[in-house]
Amino acid sequence: MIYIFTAACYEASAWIAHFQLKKDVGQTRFQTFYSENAKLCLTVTGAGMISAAAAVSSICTANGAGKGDFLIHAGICAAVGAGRGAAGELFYCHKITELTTGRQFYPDVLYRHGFCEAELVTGAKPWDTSETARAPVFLEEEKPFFLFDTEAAAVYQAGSYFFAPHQMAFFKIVSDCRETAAVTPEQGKRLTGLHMEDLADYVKMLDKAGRKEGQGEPVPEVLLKQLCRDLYCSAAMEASLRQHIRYCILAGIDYEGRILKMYRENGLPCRNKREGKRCFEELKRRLL
Amino acid sequence: MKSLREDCYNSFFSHIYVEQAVKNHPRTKQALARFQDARVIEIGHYKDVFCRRGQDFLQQHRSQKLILAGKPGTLLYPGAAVCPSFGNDHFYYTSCVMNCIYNCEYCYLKGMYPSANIVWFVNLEDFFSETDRMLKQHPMYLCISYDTDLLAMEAVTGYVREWMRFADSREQLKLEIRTKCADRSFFEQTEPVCGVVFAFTMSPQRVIEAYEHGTPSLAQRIDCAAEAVRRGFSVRLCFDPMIYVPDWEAEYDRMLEQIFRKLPAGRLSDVSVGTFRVPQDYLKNMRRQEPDSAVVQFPYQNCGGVYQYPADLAGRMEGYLTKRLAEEIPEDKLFLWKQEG
Repeated sequence: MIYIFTAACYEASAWIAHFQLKKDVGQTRFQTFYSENAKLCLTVTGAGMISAAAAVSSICTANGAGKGDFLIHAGICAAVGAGRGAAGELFYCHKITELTTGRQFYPDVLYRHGFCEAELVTGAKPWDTSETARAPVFLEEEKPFFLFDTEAAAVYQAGSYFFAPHQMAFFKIVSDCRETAAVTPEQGKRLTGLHMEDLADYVKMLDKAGRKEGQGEPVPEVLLKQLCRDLYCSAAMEASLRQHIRYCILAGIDYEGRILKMYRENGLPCRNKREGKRCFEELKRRLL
Repeated sequence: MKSLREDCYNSFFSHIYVEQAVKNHPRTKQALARFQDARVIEIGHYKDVFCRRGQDFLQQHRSQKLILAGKPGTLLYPGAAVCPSFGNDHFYYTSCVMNCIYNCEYCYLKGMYPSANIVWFVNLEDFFSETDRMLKQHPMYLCISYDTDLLAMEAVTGYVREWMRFADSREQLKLEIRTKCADRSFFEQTEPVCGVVFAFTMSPQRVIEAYEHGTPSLAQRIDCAAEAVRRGFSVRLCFDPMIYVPDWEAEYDRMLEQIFRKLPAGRLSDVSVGTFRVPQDYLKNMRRQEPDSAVVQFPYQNCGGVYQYPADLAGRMEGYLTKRLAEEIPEDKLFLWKQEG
């Protein structure tokens, strides 16, 4: 599953239209849209760090997000500094700084993409150039160019309870007026729509990558439980047998044939713990 | 250098993280000049990237990033109990590079480090100073290629040659450079230095194909080791770790035949033998990272906090190989790893 989080409805509308997402009427706290075919789940978090963290935590817990899944955070941002960040430009964020704490977060950039990359700073309130006197001057002194939003650092921190750093991607589009506070819903909708094809291609690539992540072939529980009963196994012996069978599966060893042979030749089930222990050692030898 | 440009993954070192403190270091500039297309991301401390929570080692290995950093504090460590000292009293190791470009399924680095990214400590002179300080107290046997394959990284770091130059004027220092690399040109272009031994890890081709991803073939390793011997380098062969595969006797026989057809046994510095073993905490992490790896999921036995093959199997494997090796190598040059205590 790919989980997409946007702060505002207007940032979500292009995604909803492109993937023909349906509203999940069962979700009452956060507006959620999904597509079972595309394995997408989009949530509108609301603006700000608390809302973003609450939404990520709530949706990911409810859906059991984890290995093989991805998180995408997408939205509009401000661009600070000269030379880059034209209105409407899309960036992939490789570093996120939380302004209040100075903590820095680094999503892994494992997957190929054709987007420009930049650093993103997350603050408690929107960037406002008219308040530069009160804005953190050090940022502009240290960084010639950076993006600014009010959610990404919170999304990363909440997301890291469910996702590895390579499973999270952050996309930001520079607003027309370079200040997030002044973006109108119409502008936001139009800006997100500009890049929908590219973002959709990236989502398809993630979907392909997610399917490749191995989960490990499960050990046949019914067989294991039966065997453990018949051998009078303790918890430690059961764990050992499980590991032997796991290895046999991976090494292509016909463990079922060897176990059946053991049943035939050693007269399993055993009559007591002592006999069980002897057969257990014999079975381990035969499995390797 | 291997190519990792496969499927949807970014290329090897597509991104380089640089600690602010070393951004103007000459080696940082050298690295950035070499990888001009890489995207550079400035960081405060290498652990901000290397020690992030929940990293996926296997996924990261498909697109390893480079982290350029300076290492403060302790730079030399006493040799670990699971590593052979080859009869040396003052056995130490150091890690001026962390992590490896090769992807051996059984490698302990997957259990030891939280990340697959490669950290290159650019302050090599500090490592030299620390070594000199230690040499004033006693002679040293120092392994510099445990937590990486330094020779495989030579084109990037140049550290093997730098260490050799350092060791050249220090008689009390013995260096071991362990490698699976098969870069013959290094030995063609470099002069041997007394006290520096190149330790080539040898595995049957079947083990290489199954578990040592991205490494040179057995034939390539043999050719490279033979070239090193021919040019007067001190060469050690490490049959360590021995890995269990069905029909292992035949596989190891084939490997030895192939080796001694090309390598004059009498000119080897020494040989080490040891079956796979790994500290219990590392194996736990490795099993979580590699649920589909047969070599990692093997039902090893925990012996004093170290997971290893069942004693009878380990004994048979080591006994078989040492017996075969003893036909070619004098006993005093044959080292078998044994657990202490």
